[in-house]
Amino acid sequence: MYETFAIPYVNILPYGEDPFKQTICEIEENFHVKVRSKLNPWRNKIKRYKEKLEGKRVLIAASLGREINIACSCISLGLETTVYTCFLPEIASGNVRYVVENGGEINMEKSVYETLRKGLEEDFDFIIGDWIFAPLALKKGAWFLSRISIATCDNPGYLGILRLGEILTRRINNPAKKWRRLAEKYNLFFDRILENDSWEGDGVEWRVLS
Amino acid sequence: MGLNGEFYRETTITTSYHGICNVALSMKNTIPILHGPSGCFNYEIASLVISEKQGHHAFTSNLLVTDLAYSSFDNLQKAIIDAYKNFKPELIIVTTTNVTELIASQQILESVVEKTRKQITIPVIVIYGNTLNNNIYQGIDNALTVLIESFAEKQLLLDNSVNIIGPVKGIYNWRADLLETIRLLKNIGIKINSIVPAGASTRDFEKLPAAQLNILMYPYDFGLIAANYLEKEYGTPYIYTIPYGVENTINFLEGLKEYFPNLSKNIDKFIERELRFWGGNLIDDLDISGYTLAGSPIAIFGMNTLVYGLTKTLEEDIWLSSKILGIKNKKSPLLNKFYRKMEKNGVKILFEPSKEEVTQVLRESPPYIVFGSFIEFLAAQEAKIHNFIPVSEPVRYFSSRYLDAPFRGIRGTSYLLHKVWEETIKYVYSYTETGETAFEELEFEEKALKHLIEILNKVPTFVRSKVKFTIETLLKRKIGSERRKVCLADVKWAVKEAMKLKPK
Repeated sequence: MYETFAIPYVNILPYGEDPFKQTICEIEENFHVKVRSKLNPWRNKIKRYKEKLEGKRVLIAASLGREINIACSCISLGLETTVYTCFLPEIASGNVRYVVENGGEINMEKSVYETLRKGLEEDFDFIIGDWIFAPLALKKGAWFLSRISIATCDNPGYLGILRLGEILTRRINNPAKKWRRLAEKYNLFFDRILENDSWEGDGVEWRVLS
Repeated sequence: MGLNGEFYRETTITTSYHGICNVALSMKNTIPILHGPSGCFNYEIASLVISEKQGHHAFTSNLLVTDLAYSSFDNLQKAIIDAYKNFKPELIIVTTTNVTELIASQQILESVVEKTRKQITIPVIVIYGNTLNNNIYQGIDNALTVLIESFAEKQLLLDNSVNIIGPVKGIYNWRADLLETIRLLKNIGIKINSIVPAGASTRDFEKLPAAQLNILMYPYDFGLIAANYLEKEYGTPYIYTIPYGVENTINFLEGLKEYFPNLSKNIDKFIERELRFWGGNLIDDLDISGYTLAGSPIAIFGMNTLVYGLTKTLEEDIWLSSKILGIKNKKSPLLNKFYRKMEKNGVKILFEPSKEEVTQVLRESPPYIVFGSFIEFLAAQEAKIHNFIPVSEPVRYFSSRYLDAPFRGIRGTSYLLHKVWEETIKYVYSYTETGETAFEELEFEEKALKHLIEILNKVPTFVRSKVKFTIETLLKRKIGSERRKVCLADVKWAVKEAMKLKPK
């Protein structure tokens, strides 16, 4: 369209605070218009979420198709973000830069086991990914969010950041933490993929009658 | 303006004579005799035939109007002697109904029974129902206290032994919960001295003081007075931690170390094994269903102990969020802190709600799943909530005899998670039509409603609900999809039409 009809386009995905602002700037420059919006109350809300989430760690796994979008929102919320993805389109280069410059980590995923290993070796407060990561999250006492859980957060602009902030702040003191404590104390196994496939007991031991 | 709640209030739990009879029918060779007329009073007791799949001998004194007029107790004395001669029981328990409580105080009843005691050789215990004030749980509490005070005797202490006080027929899932408690105790090497009243004989009550510790199954509802009596008279301590949920079960087992320090190693080993086996089972499903369902609103209806226990399990282990709690018993003072905390968190708590109140609260803030009894099942249907899990009494038609499905222990949490997940699957894949149904609730004009209530009040109580249902059905058919209020003429027409109908 640009080459044939000279219609300009915005060279960044409008997810996360800075990329969104950049999108607005580019629109203003290209179309010579002033984008007016009442964003201040939204900024204040994001600030409040940021205060609560500052320093928390999030692991975003591949297979979502929206890793970079979510990662930008996470960065805007002050989270320490680690992303594993298998597709980084050219148009997202500005977003990738935004994530990396703000302390985020972006990895090209070769195998899902690589991401699982990362999750096992390091501690995260939130894990966003496919269902295969749920047992991992439980073992590590992290809060897990599936693609359904974050479906409403995949919105451009401040809306996506706000929704993600709302979901994550609700789970700062997450009830899964107790399983990490119990797992460490009693050496529990959590999933056939991660550990051995052994099963204890003969299955009739509890049929003890009076 | 609606019709329901205008002229009657359907209670969700029965009165104390039911509890007293349940205690008697839970015991070996024991016969309850209801001092009252035959008929409706027997019905509640007879529900044990359905819920416990078991026949029973519940006698009444076959009270007649003339007995009331002359304050005669001949029939009661005759019933006691008949029961003794025909069934040779070990114990007879005499209790009252609200009819007889009008003419006989506890003292009068005692003196009447005293005369028959001379003619038979077995103990006859009088447990006054106080039915107008007390409910089924208080009836059980009263019966337990009287029986323990009557039969317990000083014994030699039995090492590493406990009593389990509380399991009784008619309480939902009592068998599975009892078996789970026994399993927890036996696996750490504790001996069971007595279980009362379920399956107990008078000998079991007699040897209660031989145990080192009393364990209460339903401490917030019944058994506490009896346990206090045993502590005061025989020095047997008691615990009222209930093993609902993962952490409470660990606390329950850890708490036993204080009374049985020699079993500490067994307890540690067992907790570890339990967590690896049943905890593993729980984790296997929790990773998907737990994270999916987290925060879903639920409503729980039952006695204090059940509501407290299930709230702990469902909130802390399955991560659901309680929004409505219906307590069918009177408020337990031991749970004041818990109720205050829940209210502070925005939970709506109802004490002894009627069915209408339950329906209304479910309509106002519909939960995802309702946990309750058959009454709440009906209320949930009326509020158009289709996800329901039976957990409390009155048991009626839901099976409570399945032994592998306790609510207690880590195993109980695992079972509850599976039940919740089943309901979720039903919810996701149900083909129920979500559009408005043809038969919505009727809206009455003020005059019409007043007239209908006047008419219904003239109808004898035992057929009133049937007549009400017939009139409502006729009105719904007449008004159909017109969506207007019922007027006086409609009511008059429906009453006339209903009178033409013959019983099937």
